[in-house]
Amino acid sequence: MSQIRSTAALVLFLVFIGSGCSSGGGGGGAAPEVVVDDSEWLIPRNFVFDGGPGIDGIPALQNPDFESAETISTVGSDDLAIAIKHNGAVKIYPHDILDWHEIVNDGPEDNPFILSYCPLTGSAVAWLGNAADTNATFGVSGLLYNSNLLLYDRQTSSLWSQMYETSVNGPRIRELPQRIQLIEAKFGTLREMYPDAVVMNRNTGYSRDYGDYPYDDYRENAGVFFPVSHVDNRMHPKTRVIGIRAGSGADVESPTKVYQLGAFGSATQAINDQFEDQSIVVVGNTDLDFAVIYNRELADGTILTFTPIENDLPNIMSDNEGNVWDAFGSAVSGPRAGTQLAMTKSYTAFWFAWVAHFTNAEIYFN
Amino acid sequence: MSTNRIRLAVSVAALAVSSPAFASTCSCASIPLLGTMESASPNENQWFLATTYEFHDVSELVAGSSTIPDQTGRERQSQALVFEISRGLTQKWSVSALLSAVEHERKISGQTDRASGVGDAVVMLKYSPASISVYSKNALTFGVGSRLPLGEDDASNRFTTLAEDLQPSTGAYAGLMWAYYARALNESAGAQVYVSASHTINGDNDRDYQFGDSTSIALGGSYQTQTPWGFGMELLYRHAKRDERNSVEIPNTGGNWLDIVPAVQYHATETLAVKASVKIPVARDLNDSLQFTTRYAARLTLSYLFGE
Repeated sequence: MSQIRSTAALVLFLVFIGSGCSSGGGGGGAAPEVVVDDSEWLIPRNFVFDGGPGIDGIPALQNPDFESAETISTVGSDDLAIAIKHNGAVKIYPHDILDWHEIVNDGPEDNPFILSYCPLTGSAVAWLGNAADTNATFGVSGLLYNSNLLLYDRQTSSLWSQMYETSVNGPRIRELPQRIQLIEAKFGTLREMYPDAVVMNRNTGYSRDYGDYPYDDYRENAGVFFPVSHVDNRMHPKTRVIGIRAGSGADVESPTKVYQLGAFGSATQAINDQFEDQSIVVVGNTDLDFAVIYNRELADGTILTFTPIENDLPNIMSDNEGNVWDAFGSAVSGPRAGTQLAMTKSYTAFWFAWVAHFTNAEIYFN
Repeated sequence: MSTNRIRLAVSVAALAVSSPAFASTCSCASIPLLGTMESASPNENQWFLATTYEFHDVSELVAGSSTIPDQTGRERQSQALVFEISRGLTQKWSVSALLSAVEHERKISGQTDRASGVGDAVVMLKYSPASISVYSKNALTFGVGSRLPLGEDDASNRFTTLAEDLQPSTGAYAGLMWAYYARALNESAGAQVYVSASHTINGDNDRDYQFGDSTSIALGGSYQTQTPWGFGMELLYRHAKRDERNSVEIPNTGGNWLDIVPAVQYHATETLAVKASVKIPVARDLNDSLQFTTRYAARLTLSYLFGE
């Protein structure tokens, strides 16, 4: 009798195992869902990584709230922030909010823009949106290339490399967005430059601890979370540089040149330099934590020579013709008042990220 | 009489939800194989078979010790089917092996990423210098073993290889140490209290990713009634170090978890039992700013003891 019970028990056990195999949520050796995407990529896929949160797992912001730069209390003077001048108004976006959202879709419906900031590469760029799109917004894809944010556009789901500033996969592949000038600096610097600016506040609709940097001591240590395709140890990986590139798109061999933000010193410097066939001016101040690069050749062929201006923010330089220029590259006084210097393809990033994307980086040494 | 008592002791030990790593899915891929291992050590020439289904809802967003609303509509869950076979080699030595099948799923913004397949395996050698018997109220077992990355660890979606915590296998070997002590509270050994501890030392996979080493301690009690029903309750503490890639610590991984794990067991026969347990978070203190972690986990185990 007991032998029959034991046999019955064993049969029941095996039945349980069998049913478990077929209903165990895809267990039991079911093949993983792998869909091979054979569409074209402009970047090596073996350096594209799943960051973990998934698509929109880091939620982009849409038309966030702002308050006056004079009254906002949640941003410290030494906190880094980004200023954008759009439709004549200056808006400031603190890093400590961007660390958690990475993308801000902002601007009026007929003239939207996208600000993206990648905390892992320390890079920020802004692009004009395509007002013709039914949805001109961008989201965080959850993917990283060389540790850098890959955005996706909600119109076509194309992937965009932030640092290459081009679509690298999808229907819009090779498309280049139209850049907007931005200034990255300490909030105190930006507030002094533009006291009438408005500042994105923490009423984002999301519960995040904005005062808490989410990546521990990442900004200072030498570690990188995701493998990069090229390593160059000429500088500490997290050295903040402002770089300028030639060409466009996802070209790892583009000529580039970088300037260390920490090397400008406490007095503003204006470096009249030559990069490839461009005459440029690099203006920066380590204490104020800002640097910008403009083309110093005007539309009429005149090449200006600049000298720095101290203690007159937002004016940062004057030229050999007696014009005074502000941080957004506008002549505010002098014979060329109202003239705008041409933007360059430049932005700030951590050195490791810049040189991973542009392996031919030249370092400027004074 | 003594055989019955030993069997009862083994079944009560199996009721012990002794699950040193039941919490260990947390935000990582390491399916709790060691936690799934039953605490029973079969006697000489006995076989112990168990199959366990586990479900982990890993959708809780936690900042330090506070749960915060995710607001992204993200759903994250893991399921595992774990098969265990143990064999008593002598009265004191036994060996156990586990094989797992795992599925991870992440749903967000209309995109579902899913990976399933063979997961990791575990082999463990156990030594039991003391067992509950008519002569002893104490049971003590030590185990050492290894986790073997038998399964796939490079599952992809249409873009790229999925994150490590979505892979069926960790892709890395690990060293396991385990200890278990139980004391019978009455003559029949139907009531027991126990403590167990385990430590996992993780290696890194071929992408140089290493899940953080973890330590677990469980305190619990179990009671087998005069009916086929038995009950258990366990308090489970787990500490995990941060994960690393290329020896760089990954923020927002690792931390401390305290869970309570009630369990109920039904003996269909003297040797066949079904056990159900659920893991409920009590407290957490997770590293850095934000982590996804287990909201709850449930487990159903069918175990069968046979042999001499």
